[in-house]
Amino acid sequence: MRILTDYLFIVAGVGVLLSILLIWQIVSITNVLPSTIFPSAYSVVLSFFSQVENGSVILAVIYTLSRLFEGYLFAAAIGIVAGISIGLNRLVNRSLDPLVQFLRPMPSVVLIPLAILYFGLVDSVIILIVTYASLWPILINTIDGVRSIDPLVIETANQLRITGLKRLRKIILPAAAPFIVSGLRVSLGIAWIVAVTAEMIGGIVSNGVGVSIFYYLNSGNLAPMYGAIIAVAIFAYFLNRILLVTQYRLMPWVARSSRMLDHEA
Amino acid sequence: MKLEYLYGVLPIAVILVVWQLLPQLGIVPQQFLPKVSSVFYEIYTSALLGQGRYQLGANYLFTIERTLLGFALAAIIAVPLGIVIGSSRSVNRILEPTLEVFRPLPPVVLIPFFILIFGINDSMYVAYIAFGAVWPILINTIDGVREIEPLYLDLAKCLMMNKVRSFFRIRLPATSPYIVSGMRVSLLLALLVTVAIEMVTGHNGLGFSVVYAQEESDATTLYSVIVLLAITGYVFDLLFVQAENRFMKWYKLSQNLT
Amino acid sequence: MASLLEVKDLHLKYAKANLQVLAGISFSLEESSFTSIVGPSGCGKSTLLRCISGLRRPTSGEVVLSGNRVTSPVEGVSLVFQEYNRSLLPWRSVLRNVILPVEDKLPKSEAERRASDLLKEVGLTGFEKYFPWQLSGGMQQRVAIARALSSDPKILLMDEPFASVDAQTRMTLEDQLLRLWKERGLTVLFVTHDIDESVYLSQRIIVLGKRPSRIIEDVVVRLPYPRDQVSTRNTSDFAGYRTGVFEKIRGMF
Repeated sequence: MRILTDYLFIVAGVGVLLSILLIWQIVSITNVLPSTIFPSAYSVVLSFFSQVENGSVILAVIYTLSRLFEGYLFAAAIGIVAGISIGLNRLVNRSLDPLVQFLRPMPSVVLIPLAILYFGLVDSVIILIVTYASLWPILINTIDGVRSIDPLVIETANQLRITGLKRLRKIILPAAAPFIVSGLRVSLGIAWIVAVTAEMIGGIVSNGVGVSIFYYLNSGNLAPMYGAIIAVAIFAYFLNRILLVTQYRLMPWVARSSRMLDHEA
Repeated sequence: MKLEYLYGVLPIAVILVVWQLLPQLGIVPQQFLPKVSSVFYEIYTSALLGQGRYQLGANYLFTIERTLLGFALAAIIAVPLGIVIGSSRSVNRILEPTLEVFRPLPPVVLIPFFILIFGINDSMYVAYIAFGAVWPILINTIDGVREIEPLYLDLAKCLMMNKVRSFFRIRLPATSPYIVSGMRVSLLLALLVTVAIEMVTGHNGLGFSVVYAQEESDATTLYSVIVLLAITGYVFDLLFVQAENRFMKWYKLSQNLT
Repeated sequence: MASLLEVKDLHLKYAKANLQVLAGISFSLEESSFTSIVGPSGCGKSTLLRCISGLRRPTSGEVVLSGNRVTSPVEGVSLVFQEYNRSLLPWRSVLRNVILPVEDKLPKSEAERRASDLLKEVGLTGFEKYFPWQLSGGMQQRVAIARALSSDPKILLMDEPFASVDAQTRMTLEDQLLRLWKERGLTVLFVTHDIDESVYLSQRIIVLGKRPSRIIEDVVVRLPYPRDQVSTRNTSDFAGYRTGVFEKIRGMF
């Protein structure tokens, strides 16, 4: 009986999304907005599937994601390692904190032109900026996670003489893990923004969804443009979902880690 | 205490000194890394005095205005909406898939969509920035409403408070830390999104300036914009930290004792 | 004399878990009496209190207050929760917490005066502007009690209020409660798992059985008031009552 209501809610939830498509279709049919900017939902869906079929949109997303992931994973490696080191050392944390607090709020997209100036119009420019941009949420959340460990636990570890790598594995990482995953989720969002913005600025790279979207925009071929947007939405949704599920698994006792959001972005 | 302040200032001071010396001593060419003093001089002349062709002052105002308007719009929409959604389990469950689809979507892919609907003008910017900035506030508000301490609600019932009273006396104050936390994230996100769209549309604002400067290989202006944006972001965040310390101190402190 | 509160054949079942918690509880309370409810963990003492306060609807049976059926919280009944630190509003000062029940019913100056008087009665004068999280556990519970009394209730329901407080503080709070009870002519229904406490405080002890719980014993405690932490607890009568209740509870397992 209860499972039935659960399914009903899922259906209703999906229904809301579908009704957005429906409204879209109606709007385009009644020509409230000219079809030049608003192709019908039907044509967009058709276009989307044909794009998937001939692989063009998937390819574009994969180009974007490859740059994104390189930067993102690099940032994760640096951020987690540095975060744990800084988090464990009060003095280092205190010294670096003002610097971090100053650099963190800066909108990192502004560094794209700087990187172009230095390195020219290359793929690796994007990867570099993605790394920088993604670094902060992961770093800060990791530091938070490590610092949130109850001092009593550390004392217990000292008494039981659990040190070094063993302590890292058994005590520090499990305790900080939910924070780290939360930071990873936030960073992913920023990585997307930076990676796609760089593609859209033009002239840097010749592939990726940002490029595709603007290409379709400029050539007036809007249905595939929306198709590309939908493709990004789907990928972004699933990637976020994976991290969310990981977060729930690590912290099943919290419905949503809203407290972690204290240091988002 | 005093000594620790020194430790905090040290890294920043070191960076500034290195930044000044490297170009000054010719170790790094000034076309690549302008002196700190040149950067601040440029900020002074272009932004404060309005000289030169970059007009950093005027562009800065464009950027700030959009960011704040977009943020305000996002807050006005997200807070009531979040409260409504969070208050009803059914509404929350029904809307959750939709929210979960839009939340991770990078707002930049929708830039063309907004341009098509509004054209390139101020309303487009504000609408777009609001769209980008709405999510942290919305999600946080929903969470805050859902995670209200059940005992508070029991208390409201025991005291026979009507809906209005219990909302203003109990539910809203209880949710406010979450709302403020969401706003803090949202303001910085709004700034990020503003600069991004300005860079893409190349119309005006600091995002436009920085791309223009890069095309002209003008490192000094580039750094000027970066510094301006860094300071702005820092001030925005600082404002929220101050606000949180003044009004939300009870939250942090009461959390430590549960 | 008509009873102030009557509980009639209360049954409560958790539908989702298919768990029968209360299986026919009936008793009545006289005005100005002090009654304790004791029982093993999980027997539904707190749930019973919530039904009486109107926070929860029983599956069957009814609660009658001064001749009126209770289906939701009513005037004249105050509930003191066990988790004081989570029931006090952290964004409000101590004074403003105590004012809460009468904030909209009395003019400000009168409400504040009543609140500060109550704070004096619980021994917290000078702490009006403090925040709950700045106070110790015992002090917080006193604020909660002051708050419960600010609406001038006839019935005070208390859900294991001193359970999370250290032994010394508990003795102080117990005596303070007895004083407030006598001075104000309250009717107190006091839920506790501490048998000693129930004997010390009450005129009557209702013992609940294991889940699904019924009343397995209804004891009148004939110890004189005022009671004293040392001398009263030292009497053989006290020990007798305590043993009796303890045996009854132990006999269930």
